[in-house]
Amino acid sequence: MQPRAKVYVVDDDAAVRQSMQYLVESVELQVEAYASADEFLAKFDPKASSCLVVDVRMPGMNGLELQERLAAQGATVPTIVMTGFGDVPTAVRAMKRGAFDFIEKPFHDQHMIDLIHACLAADAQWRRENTERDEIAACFVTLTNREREVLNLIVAGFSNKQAAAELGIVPKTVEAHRAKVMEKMHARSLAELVQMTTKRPAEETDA
Amino acid sequence: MGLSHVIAVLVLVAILARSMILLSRNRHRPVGIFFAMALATAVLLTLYGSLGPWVPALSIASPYASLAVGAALGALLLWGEWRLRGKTGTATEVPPQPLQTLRRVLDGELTPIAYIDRAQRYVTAHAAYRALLGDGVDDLVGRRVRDGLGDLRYREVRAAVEQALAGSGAIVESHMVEPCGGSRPVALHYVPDTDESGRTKGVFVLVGDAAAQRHIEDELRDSEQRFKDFAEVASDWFFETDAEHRFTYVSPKSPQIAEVTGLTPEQFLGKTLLELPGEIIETAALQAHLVDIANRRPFQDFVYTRRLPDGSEWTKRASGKPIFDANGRFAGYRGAGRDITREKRAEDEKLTAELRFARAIERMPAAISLYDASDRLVMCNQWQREIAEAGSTPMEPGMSFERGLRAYVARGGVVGTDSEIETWLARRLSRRARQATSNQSLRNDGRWYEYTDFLLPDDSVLTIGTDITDRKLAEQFNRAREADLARLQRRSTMGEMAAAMAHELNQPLTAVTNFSSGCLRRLRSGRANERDLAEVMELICQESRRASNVLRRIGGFVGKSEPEKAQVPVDEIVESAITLANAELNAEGVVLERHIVAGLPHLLVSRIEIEQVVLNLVRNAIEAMENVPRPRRRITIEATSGSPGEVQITVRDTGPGFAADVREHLFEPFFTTKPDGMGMGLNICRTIVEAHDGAIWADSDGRLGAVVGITIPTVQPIEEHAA
Repeated sequence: MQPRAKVYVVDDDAAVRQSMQYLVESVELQVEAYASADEFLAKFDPKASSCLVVDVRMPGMNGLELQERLAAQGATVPTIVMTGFGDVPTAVRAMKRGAFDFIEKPFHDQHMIDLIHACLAADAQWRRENTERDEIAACFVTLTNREREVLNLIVAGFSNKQAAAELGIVPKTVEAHRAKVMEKMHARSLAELVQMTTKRPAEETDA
Repeated sequence: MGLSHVIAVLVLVAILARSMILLSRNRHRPVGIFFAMALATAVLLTLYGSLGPWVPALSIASPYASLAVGAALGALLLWGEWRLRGKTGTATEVPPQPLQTLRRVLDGELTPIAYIDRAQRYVTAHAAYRALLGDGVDDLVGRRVRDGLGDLRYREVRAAVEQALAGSGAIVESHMVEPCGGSRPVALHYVPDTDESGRTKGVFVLVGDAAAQRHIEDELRDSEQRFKDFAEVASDWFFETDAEHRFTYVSPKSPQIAEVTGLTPEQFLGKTLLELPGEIIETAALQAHLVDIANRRPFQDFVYTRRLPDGSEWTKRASGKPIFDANGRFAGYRGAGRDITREKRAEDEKLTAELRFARAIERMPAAISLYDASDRLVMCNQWQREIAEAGSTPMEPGMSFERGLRAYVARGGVVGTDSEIETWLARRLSRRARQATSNQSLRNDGRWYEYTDFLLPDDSVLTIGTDITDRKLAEQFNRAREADLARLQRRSTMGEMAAAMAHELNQPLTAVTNFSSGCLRRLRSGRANERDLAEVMELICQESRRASNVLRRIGGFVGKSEPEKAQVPVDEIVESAITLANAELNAEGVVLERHIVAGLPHLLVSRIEIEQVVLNLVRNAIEAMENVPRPRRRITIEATSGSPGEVQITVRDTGPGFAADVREHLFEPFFTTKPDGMGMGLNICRTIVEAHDGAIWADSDGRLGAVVGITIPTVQPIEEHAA
């Protein structure tokens, strides 16, 4: 089982930080609160499932800058940006930088809790998909060249006979390759095989 | 007989004749006696020499010897004649004229002292005459002239008396014995007293001071010479005219004559002023002059202009006095003239300039008046008369300043309460105590006037009144505009700060919401822990207070009503301003240091306004450091006691500072160094600080940082009453 999901709170205001922790802990989530972006970056674990609640105005590195930093590191932690009253332009900038959502202070507790849950769910989803893709990629590398050619033709909708004609081999051989591919890719049906192919990282398609 | 004898005889005859003449005049009697003795000797010698050929015993001398003696005697006689020549003639040959004598008597030059009848007896005699004759003569009346005189004197006097009796009069020089000893020369005039038929009845004896006479003669001679000298060198020329006003004399050497008139002095002679070439321009002065000379009155500074045939004009000034001959008949004029063409032209120009200036002053669109040292009106112009004249008190020279001023006030020249008007009056009346003072007043016709008094070096006062109504209106308009701008600025400051404020307020509200939600959730799920809850409630209260503090500050900041001044500790002002700027300071990552000296006295200020000033300075500092790397952004606020009775608050940043030429304009309205600045911030700061009798200044070395400071006068800290 993966470690429990973490909620990171980054706000320079001690009261806000403390109260956020108190609120989020009431729904039995693990909270780590930091007074600055730098402190957070030092402790942040990209491997663990988590979400980030950050105040947009902070001394030193502010919320938006933190977003950029995380993006540059390739860390994809879903982020909720807290803004002051009426600070719409900042919110828009945050969204453009890929924030999960933004929320105006002060906020309704349920709204915040819901957002955090949604965030964590999204993170879990992303992580799950990420794992699946890794698995498909791992299977794919075990295929021989001929098997890959057969796979590409099959998922393109070629019948065994058509594929044999295309490749200049006998249909029987195609059938043998196809069975081997199904086995190596752990696919139970043609439909599953097609789905796997679409989830496969794009760059490896042309390899 | 040879030639020598002929010569000798001729000489002897000449000597004889001359001796007889001299002897007949008692004045030259000594010389006559000398001549007579010389004659006797000459006769003897000549006879002796002449007898030589016939009496051999006697012919010891040659004819040449007698010739030599004769020649020597001749030379001697010629020498005597030559000596005599200087002396004869003055007294005896110019007999005194009766009329001249009378004039000299009347002038006090001669004093009649005696009268002698034809029998040469004194009919009357003045004591002075007795003195003249010396002591020992008590009374001359009835006595003969002969008495009391020595032989020599007598002969002299007798000759004079006889000459006078003969009808021609004579002068005898004598000596007057002074009462205190010594004597002085006097001249005795013997003047005939004739009846209608011309027969001489007797002789007046008059005495004149010979020394004085000689002195007068010398003076006359000197003065003639002097006159000649002056006439030669003077730029004036001198003239004389005859009874018909024809020139008889014009100073011959005056260089001006030819130069100015184009005429030689000779050309003047025989012509009257009007007959000279050219044409005298008709003026009243000319008419007056013609009347003057017709009446033989002296004339002074008669100015006339002559237009010459060549068209040029010359202006001259002449003065003259009539002269009369010995008989009192008008003989013409004598006087001096001068070319004043250049002066006249300059004077005309000056007059024109003065006239122009006077007219300009008269028509100036300002009320101008001049008062003398005793504050009496010397002159004033049209405008001044119009604004100041009350019907009963015209602005006349000599009117006292105070009287005019009171009349002006009485007519509604100053609007205000009685005491205000009194103050105004007092200020105006004390204007001499100050240099160039100005007083403004509103008149009852709604016009504003400003009076400026200039104390002049001669203690007179020049007062200039100007209608400043337009300026006043503009000022009022500007003030209103400035107030609007200040409000606008405050509002825009508010707008800019709204986000920061919201953040400031949102923090505690967020905390409160979070804490209370957390509590509720725990309570509802039954996981609440009492101690934990109490702790959180405490935090909720704390955050609520924080929020309300922020709100209070915003309320104070936005408040539009004129805030009252109150005694405020310096540190509260600084802290409030910092709190208001806190959000921005944090957002920009600025490190703020404060050094507030302990125990500073309180300030009596409008708290909000001074807070806004400090806040503005902090905000400016933050903005100034926009391009400074974050770690180096630093603001230092210092509050110190500057000069005694002042507190100084400075805000120093680490921005780029400003150049020296910028400093001059920093506090001017609409001056800004920010791309989108309005340029009102520091101006409003200055307005506020100056309204508190304080000062604002800025300094920078133009490289690293700027410092802006304000000084505010202090009040004594509130005394705490001890129990």
